[in-house]
Amino acid sequence: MSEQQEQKKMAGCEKFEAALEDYASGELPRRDAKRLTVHLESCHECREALEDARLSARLVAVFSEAVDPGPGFTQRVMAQIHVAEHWVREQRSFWRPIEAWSWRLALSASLALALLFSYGLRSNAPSAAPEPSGVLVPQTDAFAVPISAPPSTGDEVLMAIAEKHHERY
Amino acid sequence: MDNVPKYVAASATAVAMTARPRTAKPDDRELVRAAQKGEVVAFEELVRRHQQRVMAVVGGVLRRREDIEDVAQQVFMKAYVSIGRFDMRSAFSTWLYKIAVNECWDYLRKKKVRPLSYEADLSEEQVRHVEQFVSTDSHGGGNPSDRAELREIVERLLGELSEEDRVMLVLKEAQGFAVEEIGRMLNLNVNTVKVRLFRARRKLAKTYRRRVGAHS
Ligand SMILES: [Zn+2]
Repeated sequence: MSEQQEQKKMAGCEKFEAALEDYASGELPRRDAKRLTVHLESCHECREALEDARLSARLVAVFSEAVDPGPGFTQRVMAQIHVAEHWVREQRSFWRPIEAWSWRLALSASLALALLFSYGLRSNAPSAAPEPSGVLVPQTDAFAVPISAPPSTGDEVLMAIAEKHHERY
Repeated sequence: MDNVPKYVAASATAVAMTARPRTAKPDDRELVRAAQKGEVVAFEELVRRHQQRVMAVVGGVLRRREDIEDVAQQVFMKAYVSIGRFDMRSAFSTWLYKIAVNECWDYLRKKKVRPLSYEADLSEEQVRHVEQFVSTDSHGGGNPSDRAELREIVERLLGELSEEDRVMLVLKEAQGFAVEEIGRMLNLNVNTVKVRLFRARRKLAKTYRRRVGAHS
């Protein structure tokens, strides 16, 4: 029987689908079970559907063997976390001086820019629209492109490590 | 494990318990709160408590058994990293299982796992094997290779279902999750889960009749 024919035949019985699911797993409350039993007595399709449900349950049972993580699992997870945390700490202590240095560089660059700009304004005072000076371009770039991009948070780095471990397979 | 630091290996009973007698085990919420404050031992206890069920979720989605532990570890790494953002509006286990399911989908996507050649005919021996399993109450044959073969056969029959339906069926029927839990994991309402489960069961049974029953 095609699925479409089947649906047609089951029409009217759809309202029992959720109940049949519960019934098949023995979870249908007694009162509803009584009502369903009455329907089952007169409905061949639903009886067949219930048979199917039981057959499937039997088949899928082949996967029911529990996967035992074993006692070492927790230790392995915690060791992995420890390694990642350690790495984050090391990265932080590596980036900190560079971060400070880059801020200093950015600060002096902006200072130089301010000086040049005020100088440019004074020297170009008569012209209405001063041409952008070639000297200014690399200086402004120092702001557009961050000199260093230290990892923003420990979380992100941990995530990245987690991902990296994940790539391994 | 030599490289496990002392504070990690310390017993979780050392977790400071608030408003509870020392003898009572802290519940998940207490452990989560402690872990959010950075207490590693509290997180360790959460891992210990939930590892079996997380394995069951991951095992319900992934086909290759050898991947299950790796992905389960990954789930706990992600949980550790984002536990600060967990707002306790659901049970910790629900939150964790959602991470597990997402991690599995990611894994399948990244690995681009190809379905087995499901339509290939089953051998006569395989047909006999699965029929025998269905008609008896055995747990799938005495030796591991028999069970592995049965799993492979059923996996091929399940290949005709959508990935999500297959997962639902395995989580419910083989891993023993309640429909409510499955609904929360997959963001579906309980009734939808029931109806889809029931239809998936029917479809599997039909596939079985067509591919196994027809041979006998
Ligand atoms: Zn009916």
